[in-house]
Amino acid sequence: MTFILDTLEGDQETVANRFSAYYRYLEEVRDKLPENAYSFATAPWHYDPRDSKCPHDSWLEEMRIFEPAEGERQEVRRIKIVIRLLGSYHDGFIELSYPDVNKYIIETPESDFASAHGDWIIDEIRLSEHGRVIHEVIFHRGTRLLIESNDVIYRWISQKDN
Amino acid sequence: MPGNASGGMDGVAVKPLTVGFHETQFLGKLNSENQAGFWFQLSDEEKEQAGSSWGPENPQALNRYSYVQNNPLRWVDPTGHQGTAPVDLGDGWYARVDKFNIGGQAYHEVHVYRMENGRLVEKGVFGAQGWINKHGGKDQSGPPSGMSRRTFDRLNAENIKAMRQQGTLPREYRHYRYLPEGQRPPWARPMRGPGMGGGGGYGYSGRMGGGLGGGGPKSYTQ
Repeated sequence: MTFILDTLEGDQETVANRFSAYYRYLEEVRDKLPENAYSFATAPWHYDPRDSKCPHDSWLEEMRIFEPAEGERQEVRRIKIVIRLLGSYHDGFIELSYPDVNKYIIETPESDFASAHGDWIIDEIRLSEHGRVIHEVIFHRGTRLLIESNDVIYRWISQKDN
Repeated sequence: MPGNASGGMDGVAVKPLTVGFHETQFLGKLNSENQAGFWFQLSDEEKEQAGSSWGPENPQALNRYSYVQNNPLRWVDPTGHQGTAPVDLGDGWYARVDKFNIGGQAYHEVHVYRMENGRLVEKGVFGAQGWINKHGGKDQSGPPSGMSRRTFDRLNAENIKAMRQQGTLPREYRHYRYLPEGQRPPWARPMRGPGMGGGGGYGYSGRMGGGLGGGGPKSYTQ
């Protein structure tokens, strides 16, 4: 079940209703969402393409998967994912960190004409049935990225600070 | 009830986006009038009015992949949230029109692509004020390299059409269908910034920010 990812052919009213339902949902689950994830989901710039911090139209620079390890034999391991995006105005980078991942899916359709993932189109945050945070993203090419983690941490890195 | 909106792609076959540009269906879709939806962001007031209940009537309960399965033409907008078909500008140029309604304020962007060696390459992002400084195109003015006047006219026409559909085209310019190459939109605000002040070509060194339909440009310095 998604909220705003698949608005399909929706007219203005339909799409508005979906955003409305999405924001209602976020309020419903606010107490169960980590503060970082909630703040990211509800940030005023999140769906404002005029703002540098908005991920819409950003380009994927890299997606790194780590296995931070502890223990005597490094046997206590987890999955951490960090995504770095070139901001749509090229004046900074967006870094998204998923500290403790228990599920991730990337699906990229083949394409005769797209060479990369293209623009980040839209994303949404949900709560999984396990009480974890789901972040699902769609790129221009049609790539779908879904990560279920304990949190989503957004960081804006200004070009001058990079 | 909320709380179990789990994701997952298990068992869902995503139809690859393999449609070619010469397929009849594709070409038939090109230049079709866009009457479809907009991407909305609710204003704070609207968010408050949205209430707190959320139930099974939620319209999100749609096949999450039907956008691909039903319409592989959505290469320009896989989510369909702008409901925009690809626009053929001619001579290997294409456009994607993103429309938004941000807290009640209409806004649009026209992403301009060129087919190069069988791959689509974005050449810039166009808007009501001319070129937008997205994707590193801040110093761009006039048509991109290699774009003919005819194609640039079509780009202008798409831009004006989007403005007309969103109600952002000033009343006194309703008769406009396109602008001749190099002509600045008469409704555009003065260009700012180094290298953007001269000539009559399209150019926009700033970022849209609350100026639609009136008011001055707003700077978005970080």
